[in-house]
Amino acid sequence: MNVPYRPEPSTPGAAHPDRTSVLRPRIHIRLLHKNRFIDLLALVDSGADDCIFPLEVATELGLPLKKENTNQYAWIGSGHISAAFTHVQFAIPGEPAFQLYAGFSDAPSVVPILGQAGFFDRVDVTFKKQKGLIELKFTKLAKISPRTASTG
Amino acid sequence: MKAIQQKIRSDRPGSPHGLAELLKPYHSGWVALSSDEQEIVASGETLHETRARAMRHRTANDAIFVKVIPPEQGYLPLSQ
Repeated sequence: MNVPYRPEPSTPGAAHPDRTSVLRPRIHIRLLHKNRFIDLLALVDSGADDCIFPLEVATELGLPLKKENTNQYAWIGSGHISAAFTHVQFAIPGEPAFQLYAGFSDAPSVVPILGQAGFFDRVDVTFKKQKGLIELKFTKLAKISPRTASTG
Repeated sequence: MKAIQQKIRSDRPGSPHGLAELLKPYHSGWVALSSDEQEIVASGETLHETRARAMRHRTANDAIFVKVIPPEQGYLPLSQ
């Protein structure tokens, strides 16, 4: 399936005086846990080792997190951040859901990120920036229907 | 989910410069987009607050939540 890049605002600065928007590969995803779900725009980031989400997402879903199950990440400019990992049901609309092992971090500037482990392992991603599209090909998917979840 | 997929597939580049315009007033926190990504139904500094506001409009279950990247900053992987 092809999904579009999303244009987002950018404030012109000295280095880029004419830049008023940027295209980012943020895609529509759904995270599910028990009878709750939340839809998010998540950044497809081949430079990230793992899939990371703001801790607030885990809180909204009622995901149990164990502090001891954490991993740390290099964080340019400010040392490191840590994220607590657990399994969460993951779906892209129109595709089968699968279990994603994802980290949740309370670092303020963490946005939903789809990284190598868990996402790129299962989805072949081709960036077609000039066409404004991201091609996603799914592999190794469990047959779990996202329709089993009801309300958020 | 089928309905959501159709909405996404109809969202072709070229038209969605509207999203940049929609997000322009926001410099932090979260926004809730309508399922067709044509309007912002709620915003807030936290996800919980934003969901609660979207819920008041009975749109929380259809909304797509976006963590705002400040427009005055670029994004680099794991940077701030």
